[in-house]
Amino acid sequence: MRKRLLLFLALSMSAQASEQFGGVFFDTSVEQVQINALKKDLVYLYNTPQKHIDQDLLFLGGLKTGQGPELHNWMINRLKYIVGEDFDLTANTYMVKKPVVYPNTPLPLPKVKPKLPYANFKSANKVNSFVVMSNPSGGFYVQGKKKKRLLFTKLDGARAVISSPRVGLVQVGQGLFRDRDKLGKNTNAPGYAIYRLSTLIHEGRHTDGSGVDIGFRHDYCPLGHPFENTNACESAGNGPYTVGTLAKRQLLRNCTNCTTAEKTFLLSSIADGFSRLLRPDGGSNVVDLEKEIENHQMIYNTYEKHLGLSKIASEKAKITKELAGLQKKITTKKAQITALVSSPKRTQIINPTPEGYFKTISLKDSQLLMQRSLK
Amino acid sequence: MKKALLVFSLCVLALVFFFQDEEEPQKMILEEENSVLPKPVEGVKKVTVTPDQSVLEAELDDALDDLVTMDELKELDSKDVHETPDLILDAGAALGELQEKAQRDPSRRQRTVEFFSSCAQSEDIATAVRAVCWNKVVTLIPEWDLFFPLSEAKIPEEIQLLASKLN
Repeated sequence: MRKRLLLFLALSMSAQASEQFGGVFFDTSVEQVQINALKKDLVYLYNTPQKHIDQDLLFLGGLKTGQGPELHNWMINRLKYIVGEDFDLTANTYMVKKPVVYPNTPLPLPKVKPKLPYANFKSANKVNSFVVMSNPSGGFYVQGKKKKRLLFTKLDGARAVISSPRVGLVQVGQGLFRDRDKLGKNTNAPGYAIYRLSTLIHEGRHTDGSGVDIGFRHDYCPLGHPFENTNACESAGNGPYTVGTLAKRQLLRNCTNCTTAEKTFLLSSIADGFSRLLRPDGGSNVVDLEKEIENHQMIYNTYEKHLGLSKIASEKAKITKELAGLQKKITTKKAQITALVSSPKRTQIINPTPEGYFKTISLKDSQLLMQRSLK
Repeated sequence: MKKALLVFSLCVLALVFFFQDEEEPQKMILEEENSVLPKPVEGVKKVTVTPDQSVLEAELDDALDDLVTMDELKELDSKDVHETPDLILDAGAALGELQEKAQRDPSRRQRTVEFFSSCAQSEDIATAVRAVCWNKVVTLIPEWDLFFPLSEAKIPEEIQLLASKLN
């Protein structure tokens, strides 16, 4: 059975030698330098030991171990075909004439855009922007479902049949591979790799969900948010921003050779990701509160040491005041934990089971695919 | 005898020129140093800013001005905010570079933590960047063994919560 599956994957993906690696098909429209970077990223994901496992990522991402081979398996079940920025998706996507039967689930409803209480004028000075990545799989699937026709995208050497958002067709752009002045030109550095991998994981989540929740579409950000009135936020507790950000945080925690600049670059993206999550409780949870207590305790210990060494009365008074403030904060955080445990506020968790017809690649098979690519 | 006198006077002249040349640049350096140092004001404690510190001050002031603001983010198109905007990523990289410099040069540390605190308190700066700054303050104080009056920093709960998720 496994051999048959591998044969099926090999035939459907490599008929005309574009490039495939570790279970992912790279169309010829993807620049070679980008393919090389993504191949290295997949190897980094697969091989990097994950000593610090994020329990939220396991639970919300539906993972068991959170180790590299499982993360790689999670990804290639959701991202199978990668096309380049110049690939014309509309021109290369066709509709089969013969009608097909789609699952009898409701179609997704349009997201409601909140009305701004003021005119939102944007200046003419535009910042140069670069395409990072997009996932048309869900959109194409819904188009086909509405017309009861099957869609497929013709690639250079393969056909991505859109029988489910899980077809995993994504488009990558220059923005994903940009180097940054402060981080250096080596875009294979682990900081860059983690950024790209977590973006892939984010896009992977867009292939999950069914019916009205198909594709885990984003929500509009509320007024006052930096991205107010754009659909760049998330109310689901297990959507793309959540899973992508948690994956980024775990990969960063396990990065043993990231520079401080790389780490801080990733932290800014993690903070941005968490800032998009619309939570009923504002997002505080027991683990975060415990970390805050730990941080305050470490500062408390440092200041206590300073107090012991200080001989100036005014300085001592200042440190004593800070110690009292820290103690108060620790007590408050502990009370918040007790309150959270006694009456937890649940965030909406969406059933991630995908819709449509697709083949699931087992962990063993994805390991085999990667091992063959590494030979 | 005339020859000897001529040689002697030439030597004297040469020595005069030599010392004049030596003294001139010293005077200039002293003048330069005076122009950098602030003039002490009577009755006020003398400000002791070394040239190195003033360079650091200017560098950190510029860095604070360069950090992405909320208004700048609101200018972005919807397609540019689906992933973390470059403006935020570049700010993160810049903050990391400042931390690296202070890691190498301990004389910059106290001022760098103060800078991170100012960044976290600034209402103009983007939320995500402020959270990273506050995360730096609370993690670097014990790491660098510094004292910084945290109680004087006015940080909204939202920023503190976001910062706590970054560890």
